[in-house]
Amino acid sequence: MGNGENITGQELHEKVVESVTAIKNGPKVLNLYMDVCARCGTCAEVCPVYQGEPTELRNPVVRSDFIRGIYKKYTTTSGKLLGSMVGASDFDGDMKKWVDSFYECTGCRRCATYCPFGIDNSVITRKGRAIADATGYTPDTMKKVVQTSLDTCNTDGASPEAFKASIDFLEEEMKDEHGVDIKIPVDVVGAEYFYVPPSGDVLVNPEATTGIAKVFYVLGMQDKWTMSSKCFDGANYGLFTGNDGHMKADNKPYVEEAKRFGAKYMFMGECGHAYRIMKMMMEKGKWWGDLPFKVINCMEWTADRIKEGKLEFDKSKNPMPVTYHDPCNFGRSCGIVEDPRVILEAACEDFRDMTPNRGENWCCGGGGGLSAMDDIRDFRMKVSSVKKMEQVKATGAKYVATACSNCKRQFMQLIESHNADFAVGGVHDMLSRSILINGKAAERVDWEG
Amino acid sequence: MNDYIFMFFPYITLLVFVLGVVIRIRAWAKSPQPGKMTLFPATQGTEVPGVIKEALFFPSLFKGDKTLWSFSWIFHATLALIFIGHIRVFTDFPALWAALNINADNMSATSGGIAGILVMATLILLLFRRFFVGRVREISNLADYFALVLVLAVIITGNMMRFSGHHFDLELTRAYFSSMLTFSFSAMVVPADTIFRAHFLLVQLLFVYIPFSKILHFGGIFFTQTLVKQS
Amino acid sequence: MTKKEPNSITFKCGKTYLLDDQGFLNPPDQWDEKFAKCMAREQGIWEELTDQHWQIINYLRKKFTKEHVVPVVVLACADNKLRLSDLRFLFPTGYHRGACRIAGINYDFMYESNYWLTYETSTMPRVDHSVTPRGYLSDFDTWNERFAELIIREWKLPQGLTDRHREIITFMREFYTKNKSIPNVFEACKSTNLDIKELIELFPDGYHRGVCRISGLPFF
Repeated sequence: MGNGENITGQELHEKVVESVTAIKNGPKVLNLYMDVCARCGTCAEVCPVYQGEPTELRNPVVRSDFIRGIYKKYTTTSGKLLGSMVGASDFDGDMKKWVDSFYECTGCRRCATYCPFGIDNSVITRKGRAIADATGYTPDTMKKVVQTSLDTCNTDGASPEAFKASIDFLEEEMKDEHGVDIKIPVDVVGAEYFYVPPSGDVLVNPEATTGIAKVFYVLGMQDKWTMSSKCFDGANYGLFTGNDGHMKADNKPYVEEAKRFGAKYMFMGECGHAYRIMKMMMEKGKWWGDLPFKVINCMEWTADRIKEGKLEFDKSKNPMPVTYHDPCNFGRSCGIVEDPRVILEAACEDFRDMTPNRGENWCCGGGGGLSAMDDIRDFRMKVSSVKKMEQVKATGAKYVATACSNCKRQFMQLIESHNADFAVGGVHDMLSRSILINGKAAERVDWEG
Repeated sequence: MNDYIFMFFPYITLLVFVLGVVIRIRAWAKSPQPGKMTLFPATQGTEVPGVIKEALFFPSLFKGDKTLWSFSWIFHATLALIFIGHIRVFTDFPALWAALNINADNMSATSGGIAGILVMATLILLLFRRFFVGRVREISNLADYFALVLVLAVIITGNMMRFSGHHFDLELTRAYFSSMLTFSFSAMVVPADTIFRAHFLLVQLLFVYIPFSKILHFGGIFFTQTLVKQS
Repeated sequence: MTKKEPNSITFKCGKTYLLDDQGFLNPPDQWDEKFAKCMAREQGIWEELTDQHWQIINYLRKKFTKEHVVPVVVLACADNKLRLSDLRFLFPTGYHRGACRIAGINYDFMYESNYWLTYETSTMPRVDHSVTPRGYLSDFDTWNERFAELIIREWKLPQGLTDRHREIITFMREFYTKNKSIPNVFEACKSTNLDIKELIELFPDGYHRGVCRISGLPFF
């Protein structure tokens, strides 16, 4: 855990108060959240963490009150005059408590869906984490991922050579599966689609990437897309540490790369927060002005091609019951909910939905970057994921498809620690296994039984 | 002396209330916002109709907590009715009643009476909830209880006027308010009714308190819900 | 990292190794070939380690001890001219949970060098035996210890397949081979000195679904 060793108690207090009072100057959303909450407790009722194991510090309002209390004390007349009578409180100097608490919120935004005012506690969580970051208290894991990503443009720290070797390997894989040359173009200037996956989808669980390569192949668009040997990881942990500077610095090379390629589409892979940053924040917020390209998502694109009837599948390759876990960043935050279902229903024999689903889905328990933190593994296994596991078990699914690397890591650890009887993987993984190329699905050794 | 309080305080109250609310809302409206925080799926409703629906029927809360929704919706809806009903304290619409063929006093006695009981009952339930539901007790501070108790006091004194059996002089009260509206201080007669005076003072305290408290959520909801609804 | 009490594992050969809380060898200098062989059995490799297994294990050992890195799965396959499915076939519990664990790379090292390594989505080993819809072995002769282990896994017994299990299973199988019939519960208990309490502890599914099924006897 980052311990902010370079800061004295008094400096810490000043910094905290300063950055909380700065809320007065915006953004509007935080201003409102400081004032409007009616403290009805509905957020706790729908919070995956509080419902996993209710303790006072896990109550979303209690967590948000760390900041709200200071805001009231220093910026409102009533807070100055009446103090704790109106819920104002001072910073107690315990930044460790802040970090523990703000890194127990998965930022899933489920509270906002049910709050009568639409108050999104994840915004306050992010503010809390930003304050922790500014005072050097960000957990070490997070710091390291951010640093690696800033240094190498990917969270794996993989070199362009390693990336190219992996791509060669994946092309050979597909040649073995289908007997034809299916290309994954790299660094092609002039390509229309610039594919940006999470690096894990190339280096660790590459089936999603092969699935996309196959779709391009079937459509005869092999020369229309490209990957970048430098920018192949959309993951951006600046979102999770609350550091806007890091988030933008991490984002910039991708936009430049897309411009260099002259791409028409920034084609985002199966990574929820990467798509959210590109689509909802970077593109909508015009971080880099007007863009010569459009941000789209691979799932909506593939689903559209399926609806047009351009892709064919052998569903019998995926006979097991499959369910889809809506990653919070894709579902609630970006509205990509129907497309993955279109793909899975086309590619699998037995697709089942969990309840609730789509915008009301329970978080996997590893959102907000928590999935990468093994120091809170116990919390993730036993608290934040309780609701999710109940849901998955109720479907009887043997395969949980999800379009988010963090969700996948969380699920994999859940399977291990609960000795659960299902597998986890991506959406395009299912497509990759059953899509017909020249009338034939992939030949693969069926190690899944 | 007492009468002077009732002659001038209401103006101060109104001034504080209006200014306070305007300043708060202006601050919200002016505060910069880099982008929206849209929540999906779109079935939640688009910006204008969606926000109005949220403000009138609390559909999000309905999905999240049905018990709280029923308490809260009945409370707010009857409160709105009661608020409208209070217009009769200022003025009357004999032509309207004649056209609709209604005895206004009877109608006001029944519907107003029912509303008064309902609003009190649901408010007490909300207060109970703060005391006895763990996740709500954890987040309740003095301000939360104070707001509820203050509103409860207003409601109880209001109900007392209707139910305690003593005669409440509507005509006299109406005259008092109309001279207040026309600034005719010389003609102003403050009703001597102590329950009325208590009720009116508490209401003023409530109105002064609103701009400084979370009760202003009735204005905030339009801003916060707009931020998460699709444009 | 929050450290828990160190675990240890004692293999059938009698040798004990210390493990971290994720079940990976730690400290790493305990590694020897015996560990690899014994750990392989725990990871669903039921026959002896083949040359192909050793090629991967030695490759990982070299990367880990000399270069202090763990290659991502795709590169490991590329370097060893293997398909992903070949690797899965060789190491049923996956690259990081199977191959890296057998090669004695500890969890913390993998996690700290690159947490994505540990994100590989592999599957649990599955029954590769033909079973009836009721879950009984179709062919008595295809029984092996792996089948028993998988049933044990299904029961989620913390101690796994014990020698006592083996003793009872051996009795059942010998009885069936000799008499071509299933012993009744009293015969079985008497011959193996088994009381009801122990029976339920060792075979939570009872006599027929438990003892008979795990021994590979057909369903009556």
